Amino acid sequence: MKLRLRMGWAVAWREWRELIRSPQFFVVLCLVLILSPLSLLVGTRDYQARLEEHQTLREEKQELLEDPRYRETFGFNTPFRQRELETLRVLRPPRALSVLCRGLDAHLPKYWDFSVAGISPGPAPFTVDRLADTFHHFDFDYLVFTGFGLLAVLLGYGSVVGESRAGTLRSALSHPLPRWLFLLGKLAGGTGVLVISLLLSLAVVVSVGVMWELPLMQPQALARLPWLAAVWMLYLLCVYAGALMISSLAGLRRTALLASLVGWLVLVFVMPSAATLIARSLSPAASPHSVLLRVEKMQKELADRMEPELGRIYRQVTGLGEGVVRSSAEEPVEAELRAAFTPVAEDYLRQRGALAQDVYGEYQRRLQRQRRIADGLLWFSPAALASKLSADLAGTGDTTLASAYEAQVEAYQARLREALFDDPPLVPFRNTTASAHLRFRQAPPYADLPRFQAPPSNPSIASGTLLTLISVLAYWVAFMTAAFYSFSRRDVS
Amino acid sequence: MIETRNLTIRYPNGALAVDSLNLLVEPGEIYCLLGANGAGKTSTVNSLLGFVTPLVGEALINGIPVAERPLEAKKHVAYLDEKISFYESFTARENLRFFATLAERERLTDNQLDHAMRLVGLPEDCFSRRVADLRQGIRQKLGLAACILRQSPAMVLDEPLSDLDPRDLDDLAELLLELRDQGKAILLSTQDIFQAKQMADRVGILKEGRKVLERTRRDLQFESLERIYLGYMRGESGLFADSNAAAARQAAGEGRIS
Repeated sequence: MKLRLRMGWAVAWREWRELIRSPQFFVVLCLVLILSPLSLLVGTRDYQARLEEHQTLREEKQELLEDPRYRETFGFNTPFRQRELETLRVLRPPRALSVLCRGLDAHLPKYWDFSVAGISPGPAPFTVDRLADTFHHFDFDYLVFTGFGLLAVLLGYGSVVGESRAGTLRSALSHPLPRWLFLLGKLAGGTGVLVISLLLSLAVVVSVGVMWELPLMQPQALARLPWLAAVWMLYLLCVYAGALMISSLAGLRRTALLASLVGWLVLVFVMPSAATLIARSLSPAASPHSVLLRVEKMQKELADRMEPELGRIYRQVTGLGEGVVRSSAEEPVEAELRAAFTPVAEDYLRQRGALAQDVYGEYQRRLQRQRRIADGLLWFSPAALASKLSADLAGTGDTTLASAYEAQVEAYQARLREALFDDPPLVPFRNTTASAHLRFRQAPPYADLPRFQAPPSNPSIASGTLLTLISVLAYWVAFMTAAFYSFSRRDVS
Repeated sequence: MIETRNLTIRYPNGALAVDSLNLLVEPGEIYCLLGANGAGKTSTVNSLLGFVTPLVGEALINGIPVAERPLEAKKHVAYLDEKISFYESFTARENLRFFATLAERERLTDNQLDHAMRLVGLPEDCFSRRVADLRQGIRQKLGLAACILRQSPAMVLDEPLSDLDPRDLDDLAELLLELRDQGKAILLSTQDIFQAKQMADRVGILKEGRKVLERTRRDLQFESLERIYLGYMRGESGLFADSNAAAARQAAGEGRIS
């Protein structure tokens, strides 16, 4: 056993030294080390710009809430008047670790508005920083998935086939060295090089962060950093094991290089885009804006039908003529007016609710189907899974946490519908040219409306993350097993 | 010792590489396996190292069947081939240390490694030089140093002396003879009749996977190995059977024809 350990260590040590000295390692590592602080700089500027913007939005909302005109809600106009909309607005703060891994921060809108017509997402986070705009998705996470990923491919592709072509494989295996131990040693050596490179790069990032007192240095953010590093390492191990597998199968170095690069490019760059494209083509959905316009148009048609009907009732009960609305005429017949209005108004509300439900329901179903298809396809890419995992662990969530966020937003709309939209305090009517509202109940103050709750780190999110982690590990094990199997069958004669 | 019993190996295309080969290399003996390209020499060597599995028969090192217990068998055999391959970016000493570790040797000191290199006549200035900077003859000597460090009782050498200049060739031949005298069983596969004649205690000629002839050093005092070998290569096997030689062989009583 001790001898075996020494042999394995010798192979690992030799591999480590060989890789450390290789020109491809030097070139790619230098490139990554230069880009690491740059990615941090871009991420920080982007984060700070979004943080400032978020604070401005918060202050504006606070001012609105304190404005006596908006202390009470109204709740039937479609959509609410702009200022009313903004009082119901849910703001999403940027996360500190988005400096390294933008995840959800880059994909979800910076706020959502809620109305009878449904959820209206705000614009995607944008940055005022020109540099960050240029590298829109350029963060440290991206650098790991591309730069370090490429490094893992370059270190792994020639590992076996290179030795086979050089004849050293035959020399080594003529010794009492089990093949599995030889490959394990190589894997350990390559892993060591990748660990050192990643740690070096992280050290550069943290040093820059300390020097510039960047938000990354918050204790909560730093505590997550080891987890992130572990996920990045797991991804790199997957790529390295994949390259090692191809190296064990290939007969020529250039074949191994080509196959490894193509495989890696497909997994990292092609599959995520292809998954989105396939999902969109299989379950096409209109843009949120056009859905909103469609709902508004249908609701206007309904209003054109129902509100004049309510106006007719208004004329009958109050005895006023066409085009006249007068509150002094309503007061004596208020009870009668409400009784006459109620069945028609209820029918109006029911139709209106059903209409929004139909259009939005269909839209949501299509979106969910899109997401299911895309998510399903992305399970075939360990890179996509690892990316999802890193974003979830960074707390900036890419899919698991983003889905939870979106579910929470939908739940909030449902709660608002129940509390306000389905039973509006004011019912509109139209007496030919004059439009007015009949107050059915006292409008609830904003303070009494349901509050939005950001998705908690609940067990369902944790189990989603765990499942992703297990899947990435399974990919690594599968690649390793394939590498060991193909190497055990490799002809060295 | 090195032994093959009825060893039969088939190429992946189905053709026979080695056909019912029986050979035995005793300790303190150099056995030269002589044959042209494709005669089956390397396939035989591969089977002795466990790189190919025989179709029929077996290869044994120190009585251990290689196909069944390859790792155990490889503990008792050192291997050197024509293009002995070392890690080019490492020094001669680093390569020796690495391969000695793979051979399950205890951790060797620099002095022990240097001693092995001196033993094979490697110039001192080569010890710390990268293998990429060493010429072929020096690499072959380094390969032999690696074999010596393995301290195995058997050695399998696959055309180790080709592409060497006469001086290196002479040095290596001398070294092999020394190793033989130390009691090692050495199987030397070669195409070079003169090397075989110079070093072998026994010579076996392989043709199309079959051992067509085996001669001892004593037999070859009465026969011309060159003529016999060339005769076989040209398909004129009767060439070797000149009457004088046959009579001499009979008188010696040791000639064997397989």
